[in-house]
Amino acid sequence: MNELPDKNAGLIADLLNRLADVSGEAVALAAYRREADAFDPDLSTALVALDLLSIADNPAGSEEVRACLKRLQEDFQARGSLAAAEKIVAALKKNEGAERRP
Amino acid sequence: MSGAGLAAPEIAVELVHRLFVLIKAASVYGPDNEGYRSHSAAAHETLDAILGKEGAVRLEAREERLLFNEKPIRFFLGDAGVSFLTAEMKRRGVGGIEFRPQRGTSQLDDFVFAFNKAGAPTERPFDEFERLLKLAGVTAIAPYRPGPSEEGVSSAAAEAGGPAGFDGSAGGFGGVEHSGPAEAAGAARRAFLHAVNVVEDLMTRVRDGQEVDFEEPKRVVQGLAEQVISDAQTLFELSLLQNFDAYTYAHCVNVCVYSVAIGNRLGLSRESLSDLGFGALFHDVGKAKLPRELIDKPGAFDDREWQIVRRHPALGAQSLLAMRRPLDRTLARAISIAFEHHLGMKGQGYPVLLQPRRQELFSRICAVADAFDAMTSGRVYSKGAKSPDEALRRMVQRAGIDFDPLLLRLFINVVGIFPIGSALQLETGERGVVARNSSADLLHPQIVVFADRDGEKTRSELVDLGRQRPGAAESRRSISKTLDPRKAGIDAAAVLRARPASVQPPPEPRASGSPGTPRS
Repeated sequence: MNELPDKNAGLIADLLNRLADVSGEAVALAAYRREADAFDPDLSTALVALDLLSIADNPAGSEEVRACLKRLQEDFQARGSLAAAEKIVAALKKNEGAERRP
Repeated sequence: MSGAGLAAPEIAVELVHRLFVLIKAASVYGPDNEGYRSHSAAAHETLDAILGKEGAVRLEAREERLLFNEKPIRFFLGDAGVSFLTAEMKRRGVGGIEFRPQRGTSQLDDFVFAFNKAGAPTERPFDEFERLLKLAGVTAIAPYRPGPSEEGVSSAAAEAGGPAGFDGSAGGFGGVEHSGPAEAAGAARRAFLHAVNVVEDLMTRVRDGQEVDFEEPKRVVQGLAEQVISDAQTLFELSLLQNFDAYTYAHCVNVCVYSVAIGNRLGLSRESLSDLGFGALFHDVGKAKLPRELIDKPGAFDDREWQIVRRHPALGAQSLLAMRRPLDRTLARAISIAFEHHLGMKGQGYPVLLQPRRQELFSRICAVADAFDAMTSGRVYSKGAKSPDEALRRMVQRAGIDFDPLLLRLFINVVGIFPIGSALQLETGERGVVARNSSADLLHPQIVVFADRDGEKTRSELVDLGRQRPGAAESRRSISKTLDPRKAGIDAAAVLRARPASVQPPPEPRASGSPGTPRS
């Protein structure tokens, strides 16, 4: 039921009004802005690609993701983004090992 | 200017916030009201602490900043107090306010009520304000006129009739200037419709495995971001009330608009806002890979269908990863948002990961925007649209689980407690629909009153609940309760389309007296 009785509507509005007051959250919001600035495109993409590989539920999908990963790895190595490249290499090895096991 | 390079102390930020809240409270309550008195006590405490430490202090509006004893006060974009105070000071022709230590009864309350009374349009607003202060016996708090460089700014603000819309804060984009509200609304609508077309084109290309041009979507995002910064409310109205046949495409644009609005309020850089908007526009790109009949299905999904639909984040990330283009920051953001926007704060969402991890910031922003639009748009496979205020209430219940609590709070700050299109009943028995919100006063939106106390349709009237004449108890309107538009038979979009162009001026008070306490 969407419609609220008078009293509840007032209470909820007051609650939401208090919630919406973020004037005391300067430190937390500054931390969020720092988080935005600290975004590492290579590492983030590597993480997503590795997650994709780990959840791929069919051989074709898995192969497609592995092809993407290999391309990413080459790109990362070419521009010196070694941490991201290493993550991918390790994951690919692990994934290939898992596929070979009966 | 001594000390201009140093920031004012933290307590200066608190003083501005306390003053902001007190002035708003004084515009609604009488001096004896309990709510007002608690705000007054807090403001007194802060002011006394400052005067005890600093002696006399000056709060000065210079350009769009506030200075405390010549030192700039550092604010973040989420704080409405600074924009409110600078605009309201300018409207009264006030360049600054000097607070001096005082003995005996505090004069802060008298000052605040005189400040509000002086808000009515007049030829000499500063003289009127001084007259009212003298009448009230206020001597320890004194306004002064702006310096020569600020004169032009003040008079322009006074002529404009007060503060601008609440999203006037600079977020990196320049914003858009229009000659009037109709032109602004037309430009927003054009930008919105163009964005829907661009999304449709790119989704079609992804479905067909064709290359996607990123330049046009980037231009679209820039246009939408500029609209959000200059007048987010107009875009929110389009997002909430337009009924598009192509729901999926319009949804992507809506999510882009809400995400950029949150990012802007958060104070993100221009580059980040642009990336956020781009990623949000692409967040559902994986749906292009799902069977069309499933996406357009009018009824609810069964378990097997849900399983398929839940693959869209992975499909989206995979489609973007497979694009033969250099991986830059923008594309990486889009990949991350497409994959993570349904993950949930605790990994309880989907895709189900073997090693659950935290969503990136932009994915958390997009999750808030996505859920709100999905609930209010009544997507084809849901049980029907929720009213905007109902959607917010449901989202608050899921804070910390599905949604980042602080980002959700920012979002409420952006769209309002009663977002545009919310149907309300007033204490007078009249019915109305919310037309606009101001972050400076979320409890008192601008509404279109369209039915009288007997529920009879009347000529619609645009009323700003936050700008009613103080003391006019019999003319005061306040919100009594929210209404379910479907049950009450209210077509919010039709009501807003038929609204008058300008706010009805508040009626002259017939008798003096303290206004009643609003119930919401």
